[in-house]
Amino acid sequence: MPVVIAVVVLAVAALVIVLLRQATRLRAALAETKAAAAAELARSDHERSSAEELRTRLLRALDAIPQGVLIADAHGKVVYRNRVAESFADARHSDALVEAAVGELLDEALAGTPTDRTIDLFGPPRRTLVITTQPLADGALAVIDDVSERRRLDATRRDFVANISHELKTPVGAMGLLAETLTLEDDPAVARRLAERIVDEAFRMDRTIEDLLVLSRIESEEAPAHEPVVASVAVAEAVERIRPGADQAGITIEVADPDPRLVVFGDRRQIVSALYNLLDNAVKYSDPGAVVEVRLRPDGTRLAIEVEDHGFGIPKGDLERVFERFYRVDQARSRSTGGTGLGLAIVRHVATNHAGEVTVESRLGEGSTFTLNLPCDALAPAAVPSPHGASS
Amino acid sequence: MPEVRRTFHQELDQIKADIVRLAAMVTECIPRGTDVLLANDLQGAQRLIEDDDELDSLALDIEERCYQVLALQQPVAIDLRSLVTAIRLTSEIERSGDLMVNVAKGARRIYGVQYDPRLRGLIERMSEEATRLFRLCVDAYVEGNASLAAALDDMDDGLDLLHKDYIQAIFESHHAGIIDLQAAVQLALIGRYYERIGDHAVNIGARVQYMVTGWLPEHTGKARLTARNERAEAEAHAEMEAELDNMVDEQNPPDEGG
Repeated sequence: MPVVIAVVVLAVAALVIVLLRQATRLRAALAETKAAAAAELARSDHERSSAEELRTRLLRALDAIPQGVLIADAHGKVVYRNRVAESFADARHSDALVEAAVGELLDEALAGTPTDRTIDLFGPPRRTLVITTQPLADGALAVIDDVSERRRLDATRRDFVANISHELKTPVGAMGLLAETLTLEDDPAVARRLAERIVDEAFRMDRTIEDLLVLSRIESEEAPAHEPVVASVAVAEAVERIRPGADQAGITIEVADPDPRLVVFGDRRQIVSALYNLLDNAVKYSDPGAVVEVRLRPDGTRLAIEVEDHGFGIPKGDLERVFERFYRVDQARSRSTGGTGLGLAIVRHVATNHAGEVTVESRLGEGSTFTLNLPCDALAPAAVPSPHGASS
Repeated sequence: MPEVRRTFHQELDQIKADIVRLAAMVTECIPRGTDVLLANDLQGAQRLIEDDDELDSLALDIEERCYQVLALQQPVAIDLRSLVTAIRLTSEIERSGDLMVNVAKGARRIYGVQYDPRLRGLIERMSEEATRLFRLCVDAYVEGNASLAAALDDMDDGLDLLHKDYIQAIFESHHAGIIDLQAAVQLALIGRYYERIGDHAVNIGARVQYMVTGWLPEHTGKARLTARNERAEAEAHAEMEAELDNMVDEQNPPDEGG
């Protein structure tokens, strides 16, 4: 009996041990599975969040690019617009036309042909946009690119080369012809007149080259001298330089009482040359007997020097371009005024070099106002240098 | 049937968007036509005249769709007013586009004529003013802004004043012998086209006022007429009564003495 009891006890003990072991193993397995599941979960979470992150990052990047980007699905419905493209949605005025054109081009792209179209908008403001579309696997992509500035620069560059060749070739051609005539001329009076014309042409060419040199010098000068220049003195100097020409043309130059304490900083010669060029321009494009007004308007840390004429004015379309080298509003007239076509380009470069700017407002038939804006300061009256003290 | 109402409103929205596009085409045409005129650009003039066909076809399309919606949906209240306004607006806008075509044709007729910078400057300014007015009336339409729409009438005075100056300048130019009579007449007509565009903008403003409020500036005129008629009627009535009184008095002379 005790043997039986012992066996039973032993058997029970063994069973318990086995069961216990089994349980431990099961628990361990369970824990392992749990851990694996958790790891799996964590990984997919991570994947999902990184996909989410990538999405936001891409969207932000698409919003940051200056072109408009649109994506349409296979039915032609626009499913994505970046920030720039958003501005064309439900738009009015010229933008409404862009939106319509994008719609048309997207339809073409969905039919399988990538296309592009250039749209000239008269605005205002005037713009040139290029719309490019590309078929995608399940839709189409459209990109709207504003190329106005690029077009303008291209035109500037193209015109510069054409103009400079023209400006240099014309006097050379004239000189050649005049000299040729001169060799066959026996009448001393005529010969003298021909020689004078040759001299005139040579001077014209000299002036052009001189202005080109001034311009390239100003352009290459990174930081001009930073000396104080009394604005009224610089204006007076420029007016003195233009006086003979103005008197000859019967044009009065009026300087509205300039404040002698106003001082701008920079290279005196450059500033005077800029003012001279503005005055020269005003005189050239005024009718005899007209008045050219010069005003100094201080505004805090800026000084606006305005040169106003009552001449022919500049057509609106040319306003932006008059500061380009050799750009002429009216070829026929400017030739007779004898300008080099570089004056306003010099003014603009001087302004930029001095952390300033030059702007123009004009009306045809009423005249133009050029404004040279420079950083300035007001000196105490005692510190005003004498007008001829700093001449170079 | 919510589905049907939704497409109905979608259709209304689409009509509105297309009118905005039609107006944008005209707003573009104004500075473009002025460029053509001032630059003596014959090819540009031809292109502008041809592009007007596109404008006409869109205008026609919008109008047909308006009729269709009217017939099929029988809208009421603001929906009805906006559809009627759309039909009226389409014709005003389309007509303004035609005026710029006229400018382009005028540019062809005065090709080669040299006119003074003052006239050119005034043309530029009239063009800017007309563009501005046209943009503003479209703004008023899109926003349903009745006060802006009402203000257009006063804003148009600026353009009228410019037009007056321009006509004066043409007289002076002709008198000074700068332009001949033929050119003067053509230039005057061209000025008139710009001035008319301003008037169309004012008309559009009036129609937008009607769309938003159901009231038209013409109502004031109509009310004036009614008041005038009523007054005249009352006066006639009073006169008749007085006459009747006289007649009665004559028949029964008042007893004298007694």
